[in-house]
Amino acid sequence: MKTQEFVDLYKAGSDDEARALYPVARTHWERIETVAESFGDLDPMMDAREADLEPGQKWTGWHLIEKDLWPARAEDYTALSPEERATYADDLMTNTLTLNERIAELEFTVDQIANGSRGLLEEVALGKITGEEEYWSRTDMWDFQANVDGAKVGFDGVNPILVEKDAELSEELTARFDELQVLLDEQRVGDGFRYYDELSEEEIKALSDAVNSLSEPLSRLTAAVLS
Amino acid sequence: MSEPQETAPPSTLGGISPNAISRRGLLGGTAAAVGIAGGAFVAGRAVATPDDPDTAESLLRSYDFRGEHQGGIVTPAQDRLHFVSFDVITDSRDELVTLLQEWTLAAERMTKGGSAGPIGPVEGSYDLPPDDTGEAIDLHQAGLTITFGFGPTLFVDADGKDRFGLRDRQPAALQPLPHFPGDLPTPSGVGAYTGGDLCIQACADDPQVAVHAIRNLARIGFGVVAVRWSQLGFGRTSSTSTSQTTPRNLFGFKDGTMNVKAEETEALEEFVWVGEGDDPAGDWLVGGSYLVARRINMTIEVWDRQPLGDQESFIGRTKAEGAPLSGGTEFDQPDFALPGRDGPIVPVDSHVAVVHPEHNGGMRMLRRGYNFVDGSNAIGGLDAGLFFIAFLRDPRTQFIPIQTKMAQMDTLMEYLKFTGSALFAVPAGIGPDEWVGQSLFE
Repeated sequence: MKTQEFVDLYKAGSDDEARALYPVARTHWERIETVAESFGDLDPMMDAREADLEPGQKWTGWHLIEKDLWPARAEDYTALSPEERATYADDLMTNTLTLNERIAELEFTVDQIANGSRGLLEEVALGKITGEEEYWSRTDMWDFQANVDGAKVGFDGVNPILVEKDAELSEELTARFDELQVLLDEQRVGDGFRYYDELSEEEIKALSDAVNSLSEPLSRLTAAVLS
Repeated sequence: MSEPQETAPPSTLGGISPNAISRRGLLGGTAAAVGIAGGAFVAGRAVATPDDPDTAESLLRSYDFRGEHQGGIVTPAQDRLHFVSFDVITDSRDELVTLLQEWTLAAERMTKGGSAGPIGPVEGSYDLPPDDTGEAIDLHQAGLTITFGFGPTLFVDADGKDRFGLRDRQPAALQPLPHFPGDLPTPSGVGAYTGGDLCIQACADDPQVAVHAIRNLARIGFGVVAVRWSQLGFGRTSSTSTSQTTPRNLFGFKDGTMNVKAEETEALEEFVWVGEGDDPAGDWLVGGSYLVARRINMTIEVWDRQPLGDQESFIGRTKAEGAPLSGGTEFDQPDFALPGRDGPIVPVDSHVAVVHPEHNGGMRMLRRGYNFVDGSNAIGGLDAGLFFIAFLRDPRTQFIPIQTKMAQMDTLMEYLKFTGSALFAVPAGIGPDEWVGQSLFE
């Protein structure tokens, strides 16, 4: 399991390897982000961003570790001690295992799957296309791809129903998923992606346009499969 | 309900006849019931009260979307603007045509005070996003006009590619505007108020009605077009009818006194409407016009420190009345020969002397710009100025030479920064069952 591997590297102080694995391990979260977020207790413990914290709220989870691994954009940052690292890493691992157990028990209705697909594209539009999600590591494109992968899985799951109910919408969504994937593939480097700050404004705008182009018809998916 | 009975003054403008239909009435059901329960004038954002007849009149006014010419040109300038420029992101001519057809119906519904989509903001399925965004519920038509234009890059892209088989129909005058002296270097891509494949100008006497129109049209366009830039404007800076007073720009001066007015039928033919035979490639544009858009930032704080006398010398008119410095009242012609202490009393480098038709081969244009204030910039100055819009028959003779001369000579240039620039061809109006752009695509 990638998350276990990641926390082990982080705890061992193998920062280069941990940094390389961080966006890859995150992928598993991002593919199911809308489901993971439905667990109101786990989401803030695992995926809170520093800027989202309420006064007095303790910060834990992925993005705290992210900042510790990429402190370049932080002011007056004090690195975590090995003991602190172990505490936060183990906490993340424990929560990840809890999440996995809960998800294994879930069953989804057709409309939940369709809504989940739409929700994952919303995550892209709100956090990834803006470069807010991975503020410290700039690895937003990995999350972007994972969100889209999750949305595509959801869409593929309900598509046999959609083809029967609204073949035109099915065709449109298939084409728009493909168009977005072409743009994402242009950002690939080796096994990963370019960092968010390496993208030009034009490239970000083009990705955003493709997300809008997909999201607008995707907002009609649930009603279509339920019709 | 009594307000739908209110009618605007009859218009003499070709093809544009005002009528008055209440958005609330059109919404039917709930909204109409509220109207009856609430009496003649129910509470709403756009409150038209009997105590305020001027407000009531402008908000209840509406203009037909279909007609000889598109609305929003000789229509008496409304007070609010939302202007948007789009990139076309599809390669499919069919998709683009379908969008233009959808836009036509949506624009027609909205100018009547109806919803963007055929269903409405609250009348549809609970499982679907509404086909109208809803912020115009309870608002009146507010004189909404929606004007569509086509940019040069729709025809041929920067690499010379004929994008939609329209190359042969690109009028010679429809080319990207040149870089004029004083134009800030155009940042490419996002954030630049420059260029675009398509434009839509929405004007209304209620800002929310104008924004609602653009927002919904942009939404309908997702997948086919993408917003390139957009601009809000307020406080019309031109009068387009002799019944309107000349408004003031953010320098505090009356501007556009010499504008071509709706009532000047001959001048419209000569200076605004594209004529038969103007351009063999541009037959589809006959009865239409060219729209020049220029975002002109004013260095407000520096301007405000200029003595009144200097301000008047820069403009060439009095600040109080807008009369030429050579005397008379606003609509008296300047006497450019009348001597003053140092040369002519209307300085040769004053704005009025530089751009006056008398010094530009008699060329006039129909200006329809708006003031804008987009908050403040990074150094605390107002991000403000004039969003210049002009409609004209040929930009090559009526705009480019005058802008070039202004950039070279006009003392006002000291206080202006040009931050956006675009040219669009605005086809004539459409008849029943026609769609926007049909003359171009068929």
